[in-house]
Amino acid sequence: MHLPTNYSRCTEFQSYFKQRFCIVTFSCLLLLSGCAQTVSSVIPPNIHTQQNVDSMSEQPIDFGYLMMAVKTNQTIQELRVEGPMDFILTAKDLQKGSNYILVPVQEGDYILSEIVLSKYHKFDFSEDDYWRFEVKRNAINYIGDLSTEFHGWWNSRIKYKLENRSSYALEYIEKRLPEILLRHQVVYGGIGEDQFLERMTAINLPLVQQHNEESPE
Amino acid sequence: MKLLTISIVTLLFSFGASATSIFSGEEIFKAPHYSVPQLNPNGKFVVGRVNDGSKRELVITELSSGQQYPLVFFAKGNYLEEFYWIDNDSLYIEYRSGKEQRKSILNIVPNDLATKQPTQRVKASGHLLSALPAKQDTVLFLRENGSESPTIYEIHTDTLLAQGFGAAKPFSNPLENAKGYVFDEKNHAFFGFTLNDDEDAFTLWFLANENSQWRELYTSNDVSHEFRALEYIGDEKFLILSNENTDRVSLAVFNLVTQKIEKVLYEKPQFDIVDAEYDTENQQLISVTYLEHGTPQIEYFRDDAQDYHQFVLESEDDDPVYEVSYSLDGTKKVLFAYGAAHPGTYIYADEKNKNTKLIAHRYPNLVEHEFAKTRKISVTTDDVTQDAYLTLPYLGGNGVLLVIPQIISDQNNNLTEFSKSVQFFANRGFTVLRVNVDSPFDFGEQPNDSISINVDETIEKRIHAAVSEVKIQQDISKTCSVGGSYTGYNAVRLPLLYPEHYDCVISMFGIYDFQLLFSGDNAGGLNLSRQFVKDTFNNQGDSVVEQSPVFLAKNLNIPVMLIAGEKDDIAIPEQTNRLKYVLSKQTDSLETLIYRDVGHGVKNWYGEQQLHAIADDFLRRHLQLPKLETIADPVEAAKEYVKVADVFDFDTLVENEKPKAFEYYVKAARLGHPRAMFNYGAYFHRGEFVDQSMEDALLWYKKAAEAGYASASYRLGNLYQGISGIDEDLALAHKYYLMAHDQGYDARAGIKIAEQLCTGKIVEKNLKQCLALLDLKQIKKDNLKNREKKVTKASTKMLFSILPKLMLDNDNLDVQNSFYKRLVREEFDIRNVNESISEVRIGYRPKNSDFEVIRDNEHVPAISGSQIGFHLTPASAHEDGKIGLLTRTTLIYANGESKVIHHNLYHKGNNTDWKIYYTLDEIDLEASAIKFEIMNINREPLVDHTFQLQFQ
Repeated sequence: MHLPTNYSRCTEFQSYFKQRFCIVTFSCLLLLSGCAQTVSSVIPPNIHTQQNVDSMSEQPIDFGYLMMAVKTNQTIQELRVEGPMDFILTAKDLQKGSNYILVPVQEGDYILSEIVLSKYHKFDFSEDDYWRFEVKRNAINYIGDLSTEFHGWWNSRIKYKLENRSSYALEYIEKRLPEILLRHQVVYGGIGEDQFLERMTAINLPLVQQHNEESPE
Repeated sequence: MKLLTISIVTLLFSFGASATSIFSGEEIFKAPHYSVPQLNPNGKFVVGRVNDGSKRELVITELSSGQQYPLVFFAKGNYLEEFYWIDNDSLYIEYRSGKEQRKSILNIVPNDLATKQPTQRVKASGHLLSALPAKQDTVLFLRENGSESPTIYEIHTDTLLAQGFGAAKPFSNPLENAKGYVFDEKNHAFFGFTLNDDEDAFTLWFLANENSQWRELYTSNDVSHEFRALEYIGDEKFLILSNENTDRVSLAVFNLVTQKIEKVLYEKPQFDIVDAEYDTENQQLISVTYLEHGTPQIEYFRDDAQDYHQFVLESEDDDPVYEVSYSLDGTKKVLFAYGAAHPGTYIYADEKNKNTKLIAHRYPNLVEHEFAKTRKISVTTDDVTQDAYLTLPYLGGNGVLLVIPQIISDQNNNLTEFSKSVQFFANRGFTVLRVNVDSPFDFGEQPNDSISINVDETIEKRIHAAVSEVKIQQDISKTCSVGGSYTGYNAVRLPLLYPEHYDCVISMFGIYDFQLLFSGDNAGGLNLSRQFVKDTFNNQGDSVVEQSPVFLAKNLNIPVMLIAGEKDDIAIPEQTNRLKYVLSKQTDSLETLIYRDVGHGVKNWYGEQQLHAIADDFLRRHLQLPKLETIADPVEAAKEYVKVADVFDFDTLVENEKPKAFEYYVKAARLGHPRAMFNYGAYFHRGEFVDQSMEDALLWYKKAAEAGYASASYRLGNLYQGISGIDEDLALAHKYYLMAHDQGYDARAGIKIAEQLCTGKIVEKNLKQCLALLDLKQIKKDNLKNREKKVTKASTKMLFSILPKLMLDNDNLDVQNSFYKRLVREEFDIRNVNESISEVRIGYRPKNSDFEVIRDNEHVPAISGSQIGFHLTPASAHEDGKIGLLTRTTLIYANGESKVIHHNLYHKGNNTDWKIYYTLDEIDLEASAIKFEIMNINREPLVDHTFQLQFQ
């Protein structure tokens, strides 16, 4: 029998491969952290020309860059992330549409813990392993394209997934932020193993290593 | 039997006799004209589906006379789902109208088939489980009861029609909390299913007969998977339809004891299987039904009509003949002759009377065409025999071998299946070699015993052996690999492993990076799956990632075409983009098409036509083959170029490639394609990709108009009305509007003609004809009869401006005025023609802001997007019908001259205030004021105000 269901609950991930979407029904959740800091993408929203992101070399030594794209049919108010440093991405970077985000954060293992769409619509992922990602120091850590589709108000449901579109991210960097490739390694930090970015940007590795060695400890 | 044999030979020989032309994708990639015939129980009538593109219907064939009659027509938006003979003269049909499922019973009147057959709607909620053909007027019906479990009834059709379920006896052994049932017709058994409380798991149950106990068959925790039982085939095994282990819904055998799918019997790479017939005694598959772009198709496997086969051996063809429908006594049959080079013919055979009749050709348009034959070749490599299927061109080969790796189940047989794709290429001179391969992996599925990831070179080695064999036998100068999905991987690997043997690659919806299978999204990247992948990979060593074409592609230096779907969740577009990323760094001969709204394969026949046109064009360009127009009818070649152009122009792809669209439209235009000529004219008109030239625009518009393209004629009509810098020539405009009208343009062309007929300026005044052309309501009614749709939103909008223009700007006779009033009343239900106003507020409305009342002589800023307008309060209330107002807007110039720029007809159905605005948009800078007049339908002035403009 084929049941007309496009949604499944996140808590019951019975199929490891076929399950592409999850649903979290409407819930009001407690704020996870009172001390998370607000961070902003260093990429201006909706850039269409090559940019020079000067601020990228001015981060602490144990920092790396989190890179992701956000594709959403409704502006997300907050994206809360927990890890070595808890932080919040705000609506400024999470507008309806599609956009790349690049945020300097401390190296380490993180979890994308909560999506806040409004005061009444918060979706908690903090217990789900598949929202974990890793940030390596001095690298651009692409973790995926966060795709969210939010429907309904009273009976809210959200479809979301983190898609690995590394090659698109790399094309974006090469086109819009080419100087990054000279100073930072680009790696995949999302869930699962994927060497594509490292191998494709390997040509720049000597430069990156040189840069690392010259950096003061 | 001899008589029968000979007559079938005659029937079939009418197929594929003479024509030796190149056929177009349009001819072959289309829904079957005739399909799924069903004999009634006494074998006197056969009903089948007809689809000729624009018309979908059920037709009945009276077998005594061979006469065919339309039975039910399905209008746009209605889709036939199923039909069954209930008895000799009752046909049950289920169809979908929008989202609603409808059911009807047709009572066939045998002696009066030419008239519409009486039809009764089955209003009861639910659906038919079985027509119970052995029981007269009785069916097995599953009645739905809202949120409660459905109930099974064996019910007389009269009772069903009367919804008299109270008098009918429900099934005595229902399944507790059942959500649905399936009837196993052969065993008279039932399947039922239930859902758990959270509705995220389902259980399938089995009832061998009404008096037995329901047994739990299978529980799945993933409701997104399909798992449907069809029948019990003995030995605790069931025939099921499932996509648990395959990407598409496949036919499989499920073992109740082991709780495992034992064997996939049949899988169609592109389509889901929806039904099947199985010979339990001989454990042999008889047929499967799948939906091919929405049309049910049946593929048959058991060539059990040995008597008919005799004929096959006598003919040159060795096509099998299948029995597809039987009368209740089994003496009358519908046979289907079908093969690799034969698109299919349905034949009626009456064994008792030694009588056969042609019912229908599946593709009547292909009857005159010849098709390429396929033969099997076997090559042994390392003691393993590799099967391959070779199809040779028959109109003269072009020396190009297309190597197509394919994963097929045991039941698929390339010798008996008519492959549209293979015939398309063989017809154009390509030699096609399909090589069976094992799946390199069952990706994207749950771990099970069958999973293996085969990344060594065994598969390619075997394919290469077959290719080498063909190259020895045939005159081959160039070779390209063509693959899709799983075999997209093989298609790319072949030239990597045997670079000197390949000249190009076409790969569609393919897999090129193994690791991405398990890191494609954050569901696929779970630790458990990673562990599984790691284990699987480790069976073959750590080098498996290195075998991904993405990382080997630096050695690929031949033309490559990659096709993918943005919505493909099997071979995600990232797979294709990775290979594109790598290849684009090293070659200019890479062409990538990522479809915007497509998943793992194109969605419809037009998509198939486009895809094949693109592939053929790619091969011709890169292999220096003759241009299509030199081997095919230039008209057909032009159509294919337009299909390619449309892909690049119509938001079909994630990224439009307008220059390519231009290139192909021009090719088609030069071959005389009407729409392409119009588009070429439009490029000149806009100055896009060419220097702007109204002269060239007119030239190509006229060519398109002369070729019958209504949009070109209409545009010429508009242009000669003095727009876009062309000198006004109303007579010429009228001529082109007439052409557009005759060529089938929407009602706007008629309205433009009516304008002249009503005013008599260019042609002799003819109010009767004028009214006929303006009477959109009547045109709409006429269109319904002719299945046309000429009254569009745009034409209705145009009537709103033309009518007031005719009413206000002409010296109208009384008769003419009453004529317009009648039109206004009939078209828009405006009955109140003498509206009067008690209060007028004149105002200005800045863009995105509120209406502000202004003084009588106050200037208004002439800012684009802002509005001038009025709020009017009616003087009296009206009871019936709508109220109407006419407006006329006139630009006043500083030198005193004026130009009417706009007319409108406003109407509303209540007595609230009127709010009438005019949007300022690109106002002529020479203008100093805008005069606005409002009148009622009797043309009595209500408001006359001039807005003084102030330019910033």
